[in-house]
Amino acid sequence: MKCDLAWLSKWVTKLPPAEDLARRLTMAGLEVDDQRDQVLELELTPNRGDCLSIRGLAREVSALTGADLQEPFDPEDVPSALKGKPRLGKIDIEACPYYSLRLIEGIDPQAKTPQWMLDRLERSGIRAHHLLVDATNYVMLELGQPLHAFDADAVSGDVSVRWAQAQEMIRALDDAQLMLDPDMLVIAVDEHPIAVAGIIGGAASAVGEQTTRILLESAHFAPEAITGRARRLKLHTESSRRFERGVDPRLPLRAAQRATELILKYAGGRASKVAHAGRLSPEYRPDRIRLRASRLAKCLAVEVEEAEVDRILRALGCRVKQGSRQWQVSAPSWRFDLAIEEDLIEEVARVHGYDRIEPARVPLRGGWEIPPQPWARQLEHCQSRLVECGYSEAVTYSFTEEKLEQIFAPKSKPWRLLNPISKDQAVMRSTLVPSLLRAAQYNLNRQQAGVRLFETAKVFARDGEDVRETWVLGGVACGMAHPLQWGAAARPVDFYDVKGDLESLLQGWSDSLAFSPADHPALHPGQTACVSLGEKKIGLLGALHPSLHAEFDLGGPAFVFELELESWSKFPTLRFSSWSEYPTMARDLNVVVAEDTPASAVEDCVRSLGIESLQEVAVFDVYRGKGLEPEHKSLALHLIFQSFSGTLKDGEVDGYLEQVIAQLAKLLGAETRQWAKP
Amino acid sequence: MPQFESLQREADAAIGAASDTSELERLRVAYLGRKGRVTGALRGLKDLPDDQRPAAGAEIQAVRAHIEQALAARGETLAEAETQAQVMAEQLDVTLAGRTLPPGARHPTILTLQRICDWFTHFGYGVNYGPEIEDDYHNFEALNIPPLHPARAMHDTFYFGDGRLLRTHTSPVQVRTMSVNEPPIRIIAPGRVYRCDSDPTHSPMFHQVEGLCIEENVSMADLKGALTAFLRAFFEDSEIETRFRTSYFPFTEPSAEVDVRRAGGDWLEVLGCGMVHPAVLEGGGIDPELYTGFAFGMGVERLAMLYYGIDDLRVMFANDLRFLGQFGGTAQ
Repeated sequence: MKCDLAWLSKWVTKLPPAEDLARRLTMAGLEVDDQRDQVLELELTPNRGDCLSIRGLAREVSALTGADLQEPFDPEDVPSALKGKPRLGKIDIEACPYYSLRLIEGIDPQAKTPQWMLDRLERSGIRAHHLLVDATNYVMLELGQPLHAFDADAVSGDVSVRWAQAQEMIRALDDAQLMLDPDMLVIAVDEHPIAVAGIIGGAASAVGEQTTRILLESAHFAPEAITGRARRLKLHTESSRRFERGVDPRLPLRAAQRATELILKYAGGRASKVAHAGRLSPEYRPDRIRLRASRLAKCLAVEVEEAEVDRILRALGCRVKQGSRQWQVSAPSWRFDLAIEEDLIEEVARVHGYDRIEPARVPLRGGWEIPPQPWARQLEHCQSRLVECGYSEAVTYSFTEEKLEQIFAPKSKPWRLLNPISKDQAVMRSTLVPSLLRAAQYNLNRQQAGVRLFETAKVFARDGEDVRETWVLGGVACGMAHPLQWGAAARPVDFYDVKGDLESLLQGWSDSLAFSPADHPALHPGQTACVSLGEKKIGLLGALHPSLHAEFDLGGPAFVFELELESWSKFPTLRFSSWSEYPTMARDLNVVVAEDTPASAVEDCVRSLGIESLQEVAVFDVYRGKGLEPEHKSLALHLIFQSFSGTLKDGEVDGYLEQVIAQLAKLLGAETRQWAKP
Repeated sequence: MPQFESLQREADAAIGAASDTSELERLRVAYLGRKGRVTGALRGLKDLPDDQRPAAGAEIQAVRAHIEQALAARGETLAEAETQAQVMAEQLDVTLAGRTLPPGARHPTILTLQRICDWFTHFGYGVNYGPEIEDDYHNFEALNIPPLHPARAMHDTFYFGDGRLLRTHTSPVQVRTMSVNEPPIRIIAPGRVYRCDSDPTHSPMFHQVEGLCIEENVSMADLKGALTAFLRAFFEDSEIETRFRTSYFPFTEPSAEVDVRRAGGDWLEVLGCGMVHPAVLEGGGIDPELYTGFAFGMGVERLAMLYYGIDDLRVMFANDLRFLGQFGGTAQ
């Protein structure tokens, strides 16, 4: 809403300077976005439809500054010069509590809009059309009442106000064909709608260069009968904006008089009597609201003198009856938003000034128990550990392409949006992985040599009729393992880099952490592991299936992981444990096993002996090729022995090794050779 | 005795000519070792007549001491020279880059979210999340936004067609909290929210942090106090100006928008807040005559952009490493 200050000054005495006024209005809830050349650009909240006019703003300015309101023109009606008046049909009084039409004849079609009116319209951001339309727009801006002028020659019959029929059509003023719904109100002649009530007129009855007779409509439509319909019709008119928010129900008659006066003055013609149905509402809204001084003080924590409360409420147009430490308040007809005590408290607070409420000190009274935040701790753990491992944190959209959902979760039916913004944001994702792969692709396309990304977010699945929302941690690594540097050979990132990152992430859970072969439709069948903590599966790690490389255009393998967070949100309790001060003894073994024997089986086999002083078993090399049977590999195993009760002797350790070699042969058929003792 | 003098002279010459510490060690063994010449001379004492033995013994000991000293002195010189040579040989180019897997970086939005949460949890606010797929009741109706309310036009909502929708704000967590908790209540609700709106200044998904505090006798002064202190801490500027101006939200009354201004700058809108609307309290089973409360909501991307000086919303969702990499330098 643009407010021309020169125009406003006709309605209020002693207008403050523009800058000052803009600040006052902004603080009181009528935000001034911009201010130039004595025009204020206001951003009004939906509860303040009463300020969508010069008169409404004048009322507000008067309440805020104490300046007096004044009427710049004679509110008397013109005498009727025509016999008879327009005929009204059935009016739906509930949706349209007041409806009026007046016929004006003998209009000079050549008449021009006066320059002063054109100026005001222009400064208010309204395009000039032609006198009849300009005059109705002008009155709407001045008083806040939307009006409509029909070409009377195009309207033959009784005018009624009724609900539209399903799929009823009307060609609107802007030439668009509108299909109406049964909850849209129309103005109709006989069976034909001639306007969508309160929203837009029809093209067939539009006034134009030839018009000499008009029917001037001035009505009150209930906000409930208008709200939301314009949006559904993809329309946003000055009229619908006002009716949706509520127009002062006492205005129609006055606005019709003012428009008639202007039209007769600048275009000539004679006016009929006003035909009307329904009745104008009373001056004050029917419900009385009690405002208690105690409640006011409790809410604002500021002392506002009773006389000041009284003054503010009256200045806003309320009728006030003062009792003991309380007021009975009737809101004026134009304030649809004043219904309960708190609404009045806000009125008092904003006119008195929010800035006069002194901020209290935090913390508020007394101390508070700070609740434990295990969840925050886990999130922070993931974030900081993965950042240390070279991953950057991503934020990707929760909706994704349906095609990707089908690839990554072929068995589940995704939550599909009814009104997505685009095809690639059509369904809620059940995994973060495709979004992260897209982000990796974006970066590789911008010449990043290596990409590591992670994200923590919710994913969405179905659980019968219900939604299941699950917090997950997802990650992707592709391209080079590390940036080009002089001391390390350049190489692409591989499975074990990412597995190492997860081991580092889950270091605190290492006692129960295990990786086992797994499969997933979007992952490489030979390079996928299920990550589990004890019996609990917490997620997957794997290489993207080669058949999907083209989809993401990654130019090489990509490794992805996704872990459910809630399944390991409880942190292991850390307990101190002591260590042995006796020296360790290390031995290395070469264990030749069949290719399909996993390293974990070899380690488990050694541990299965339960040798108390065996502290560590680790594979430190894998060899395949010359000297070995086909389909076999040689694992280099490093064993560390240490006793808590004394220094181990060579002989004891040799004995253990014999047991180990025998066990490997027995359980795995392995051929084992001991390395030379260190 | 002359043979001892010549032994000493010989030793002196050999020690002086030794070129490294290992040669010096060989000389030590040759003279002073178990089979060394000085040791041999000492062993020969027993063949001398008794009257010559003490003088000869003293002389050999003197020679031995002399050689030991000469060895030590030469040893020191040679060791120093060798260390020097080693050091010279081990020069590195310290300007060559270090070997590293550089750490990644946090996303500024999530960092900001955590900074906000950290501040409020310090003052006893618990953290509630709430679902992102919501229903009309929690997202709108319970927040005093009935169907056809004009405020719905400000929320371009994504629907699923079965009554479910993507929450348009974190405020439904207020309703969910009230339905299970008795006052006093202090919670914040961080999380993702969705609006069916996409252009350079609007993202269909963004983050908000909601706050709710319900106690006996909570007032607007408490609201102003909490948020003023928060904004000073958030912007790390104790001089920052704040202003609370009247606004409108269906679920608060009175309502306010909060602007901040730094020295010499313009007012910038940072959050919305207000006293919880009695209808919302009642809907949550809380008696508005006994309890009052305040609520606030802030856009995390907006605060992050102001804090870090980011001028394009779209980069917040592009996950470009050239952008993210800028937030790796420090913990925040």
